[in-house]
Amino acid sequence: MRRLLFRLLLVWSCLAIDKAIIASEETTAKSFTGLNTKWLYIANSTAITDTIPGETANVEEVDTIVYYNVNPASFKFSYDTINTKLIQSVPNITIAQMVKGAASGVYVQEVTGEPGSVHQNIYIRGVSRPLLNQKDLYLSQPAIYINGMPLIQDNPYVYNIQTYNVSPIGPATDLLSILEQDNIEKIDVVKDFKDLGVLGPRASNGAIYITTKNAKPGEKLLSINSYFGYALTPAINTTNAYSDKNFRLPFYYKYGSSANLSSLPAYLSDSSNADYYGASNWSDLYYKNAPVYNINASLTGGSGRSNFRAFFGATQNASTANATDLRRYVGSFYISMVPAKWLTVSSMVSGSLLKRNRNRSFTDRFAEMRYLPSIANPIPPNKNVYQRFTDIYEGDLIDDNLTSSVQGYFSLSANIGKAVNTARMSFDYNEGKRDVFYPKALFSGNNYVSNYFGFNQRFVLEDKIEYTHRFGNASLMNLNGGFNYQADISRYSYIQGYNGPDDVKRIAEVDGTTTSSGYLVHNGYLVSGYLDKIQQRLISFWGNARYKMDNGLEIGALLRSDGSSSMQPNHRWFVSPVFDVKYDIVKDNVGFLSLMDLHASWGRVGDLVSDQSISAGPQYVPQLSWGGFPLASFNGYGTYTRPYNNAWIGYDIPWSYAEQFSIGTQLSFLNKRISLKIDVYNKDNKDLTLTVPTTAESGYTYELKSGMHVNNKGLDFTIDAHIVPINDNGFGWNASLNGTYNQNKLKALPDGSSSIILNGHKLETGFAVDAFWLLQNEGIYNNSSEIPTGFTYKGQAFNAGDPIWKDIDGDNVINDNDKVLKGNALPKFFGGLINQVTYKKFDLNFHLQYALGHYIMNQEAANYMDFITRDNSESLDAIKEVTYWEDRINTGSYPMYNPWSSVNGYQVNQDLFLEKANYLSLRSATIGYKMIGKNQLGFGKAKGFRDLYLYITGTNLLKFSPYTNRDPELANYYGYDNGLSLPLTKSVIVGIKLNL
Amino acid sequence: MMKTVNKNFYVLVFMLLCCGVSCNKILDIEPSNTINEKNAWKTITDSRSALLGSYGLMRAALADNEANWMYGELRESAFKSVTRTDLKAVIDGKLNLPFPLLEDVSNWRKFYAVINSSFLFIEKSGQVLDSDPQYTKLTHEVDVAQMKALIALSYYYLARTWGDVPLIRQSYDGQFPKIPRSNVSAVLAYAEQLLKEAAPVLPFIYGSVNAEYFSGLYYGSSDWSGDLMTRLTAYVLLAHIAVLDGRYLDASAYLDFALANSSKSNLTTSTTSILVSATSGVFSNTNYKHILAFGMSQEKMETTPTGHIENLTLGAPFIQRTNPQIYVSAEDIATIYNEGGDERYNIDADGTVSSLFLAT
Repeated sequence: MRRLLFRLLLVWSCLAIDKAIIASEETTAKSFTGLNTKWLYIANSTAITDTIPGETANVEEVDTIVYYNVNPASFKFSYDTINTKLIQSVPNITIAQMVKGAASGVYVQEVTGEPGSVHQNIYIRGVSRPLLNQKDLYLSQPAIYINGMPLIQDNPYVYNIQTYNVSPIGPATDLLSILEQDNIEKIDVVKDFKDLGVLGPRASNGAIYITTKNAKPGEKLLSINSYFGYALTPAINTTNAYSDKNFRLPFYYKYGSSANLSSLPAYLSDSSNADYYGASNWSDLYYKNAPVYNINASLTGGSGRSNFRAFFGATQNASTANATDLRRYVGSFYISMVPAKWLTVSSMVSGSLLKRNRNRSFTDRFAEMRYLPSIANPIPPNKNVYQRFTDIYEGDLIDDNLTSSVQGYFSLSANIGKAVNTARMSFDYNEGKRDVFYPKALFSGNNYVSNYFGFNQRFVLEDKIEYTHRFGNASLMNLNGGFNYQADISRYSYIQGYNGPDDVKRIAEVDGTTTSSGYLVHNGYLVSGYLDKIQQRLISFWGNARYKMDNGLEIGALLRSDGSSSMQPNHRWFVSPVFDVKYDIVKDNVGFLSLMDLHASWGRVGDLVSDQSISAGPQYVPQLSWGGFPLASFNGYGTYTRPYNNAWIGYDIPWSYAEQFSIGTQLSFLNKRISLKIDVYNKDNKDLTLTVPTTAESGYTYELKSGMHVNNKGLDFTIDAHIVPINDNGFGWNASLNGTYNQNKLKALPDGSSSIILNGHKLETGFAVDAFWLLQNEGIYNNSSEIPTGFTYKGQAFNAGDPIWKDIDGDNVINDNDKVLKGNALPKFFGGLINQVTYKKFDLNFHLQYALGHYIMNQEAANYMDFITRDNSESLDAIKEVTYWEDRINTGSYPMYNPWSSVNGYQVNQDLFLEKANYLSLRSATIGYKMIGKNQLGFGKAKGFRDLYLYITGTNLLKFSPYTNRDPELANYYGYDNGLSLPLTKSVIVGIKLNL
Repeated sequence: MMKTVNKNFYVLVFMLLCCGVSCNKILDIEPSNTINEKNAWKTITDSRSALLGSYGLMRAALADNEANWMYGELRESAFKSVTRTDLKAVIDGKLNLPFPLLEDVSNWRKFYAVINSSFLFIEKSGQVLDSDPQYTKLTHEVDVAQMKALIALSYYYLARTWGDVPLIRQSYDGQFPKIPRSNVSAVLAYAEQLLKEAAPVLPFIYGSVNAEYFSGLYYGSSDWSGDLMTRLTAYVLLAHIAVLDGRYLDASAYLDFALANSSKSNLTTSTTSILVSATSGVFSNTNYKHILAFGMSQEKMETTPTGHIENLTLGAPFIQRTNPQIYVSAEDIATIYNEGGDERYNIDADGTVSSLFLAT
């Protein structure tokens, strides 16, 4: 197949050369209509001007005019474009924040308000697989492109050596924090397989396609933008040991023995202890107004022959909570040149530096140290005591998180007659560094040190040939095709040292001289070190033929072949087609309709895997660990065994793939005052692999099997309305509402099983993959006479004070068989409403965002109510942070169960703690004032400025939700709210945008 | 201009050609963090890695959840649990209570991982013999004998803990047959048979230049004290199996052999003070006082936060834990050590307590 494509490409090139020789001096502009947008470029243009020669009747429909065919991947999508006005006055840091609620089909989980934290997830048209672990999460994310260059992300392989999955080792900074919004031209959300087919397997979950501002000919333009403001302290109620004791005592009186009462935790038993029973003012230190600011400047300009853009920016983003912030420094350069009439050269180099101050939670620290101390007594709520703790952070402690990255490309675009050949080389390199040192004072005389260094690098080589032919004046044919080679390498080294000799030596190291007698002997710390590396390559060929008749019917067909080094040799290549059709029903005002089309596409795109384990087939790994602590040696020697803890991987594992059918219409009416784009889709992810539990006597925990099938179906729409077109008074009002309805369903499991239980999740065919698996709570047994005889919880008899759980299978035993799949962690309906009101020189923009029909597990409430288990348990969930002293849980709304009972009445996995997570939030509001200056000639040509915009923006201003805990957004990817997330910060900034 | 166009064209064609021809080669990347079948069982290092891997799996089976003590010492013992109700359930023999710990330790998978890994070694290590001349026939035979003994040890634990268990006699690599349980005596008989096959091949000591049999460095090292299956270990294990099977005379005979030959394995008896010595005691690092130990030695940088008795018994001020998870009450200690002059713990006629075990 790929050979055929390859030959086809060769033939095209020959044809193109041929045509070029015949018509080398011909100067024409051609336009080609893609599915929903005008596709317009200029070939062989001699003069580059701001006016478009030739067929430019519908220029306002063209979103961006590509003067040169700059990027081989500068496709014109049937996309949803994010309103740049919306993002440019809001202090967003990550791509996820920028697209949240701003385009249909996209749902963003902003799990924590910690600036630049890796815990932000984007899903386009649902989830492609059940989210059981970090790897599934990684494999469900869309591809992110900057100017057509696919960015490499942090691979979840670091979790292989982690005991706790709180955050990945290393700086754990979101690599999508590298862009300044003032340098973004537009962000497109790509969902239709007509377009995703061109992008290929990287984008099987959809793509976010970002176009930065670029080099542009014209008079020099100097832009300076800046804002300054504060992240504001939230209003919270604090508690102290009195409230804790008052909450607990009724349980002790009702169910406890006198022995229980005398074994109250130490911090509660002494009410003269002012640390616990005194003022609860820790929040003065924990929540602080924190400055956020940004300043950036850009210079753009040059002649038609060569032009440039330079951009620099510095940003600080901060959360009010726990002294967290992110500092970012970026610099980008863009150069475009037209050395010959038929040749365009364009390039970009962009670098960024991200420094993050991370949260000071115990959970994060113990997870990093892989060590859980006794945690029955929380840190006191008193400011003075808490101060001693924060002083350590301000003092000897080291927690440096640095991420630097550089991206760039160099592209050559040659117009050869009617053909355009574009070749491009691009790279993306990022490295993360984390140095940690916890002094002895923090951990009862034991110190800890760790050093992480990791990098990801991607190199892409691509070539695209495009040929357009017009048959007379009527129909238009476009052939394009290309190949793409991508090579990825990720690597890290990580060393941990425990219990060093003193706080002066803050580096864990071993003697690395192989000849030395002290080879691998450590410097006083107990040292363990880890290294890992993965390498992946992807080669793709594709060919695309499009034909447009002058009656408005347009058809397209695409065929691609992708080879991945991560697949087994006999399944290395995957061939997939995409077909699309579009028909313009109304082109020019018929009745109240201004425009109307119908479009549909069906296609299939392969799915990439995250590492090299499948390609290896049956394999051996260094893995002798237990309890999540990595260990790979015996008697000091490295070992290998089959992956008994992970999964048996056999042969014959095919590519998994996504298949989507979508049909929709785009129409505008009332003289284009209202336009609507609506698409209905049915997306299937097939042949997904799943680790399924296997026979214990094989020694393996799981077996990797193919054959899982997940379906997402839904509808997404965007309505744009000029509610009030700008009138004589200078008043205007535009609104844009986007919405998505999505529902997922598990269609099949490997081996035709109907259900599988994995890590406390149950997957059952016919149910949603994000459903919770819970016992159904029906109240409380007030006295023992209410308990049916012989009724047990996993063999343990019920007593008065235990919960009533529904016995689904009627066998008088409550166990996992009585858990039901209920609710869903991802919303069924979500979207946003963007309003832009202008009055003369003023404007008001506000952005509402909503998500409906999903649920959240109030795990923090379960933990709080289950205080006896928590006091006695040594697990990460049992740790009490200082925020334990924040009044978050409505304890009165839960029945009073016996907390000592071994049926564990307050266990989290029951519908007692399942709550509706619907919400509507006012994400941002901006009031601005715009002035047009006198100098319209260009920077340096006259005095004065071109234009100036002053604004005030507030973010995360309001939120409405029935959820009883803090915020329904602060749940992890599978819908559990453990209370650890930092709140989404409310902030207010004032800003200026000045063009000179 | 035509020239330039042509050049561009040829460059492009060349690029495409290069790619078209060698695509599959470019995509053949050896995995860097796993070893596939093609690269395994090649050198003597591979056989060492796989051999010690099986031992390491046994260590994991016994260490996970401190299972060794859950299966043994804790059951209906004098230990008391301060706060952990799941440990209390183990101690009280209430093994059906709904605790994750009990669910975990009732899964026998980890022992079958040892069995699978050991059979894999027996079946596949012959390949190393063919490809690496450093790997001698005798070393290979000794290695295979060790794996047989390790399988026997796994079956001993399985039979002791679960009674009737499925009897697996090969690796079934890549297949997952469901095999019914065999009678406990059949399981023990199989273990005994394996040990009897292994014992004559196993050396008394590894890596010793002075040994009568199998002398010289083992895998380039002399540092194998207590880590590996020796002939002595095999006999001690045979004795254990015989006891479990109720054949006490056999047990006695096996032990007689072990005692008579203990010096060949450098095994010596220890005094009470050596038992508790922090730096040179029985329990510090690996040493010849171990008949067989699955160690987590600090010397070898294999310390772990869990898996050892210390994780259950230590508390403040030694580690950051208010109370140890289990303890033995003072009354019970007095009852257990009730002989006068017991160096471990005794109370003399004056009521004075002396003990090398306990800080008094």
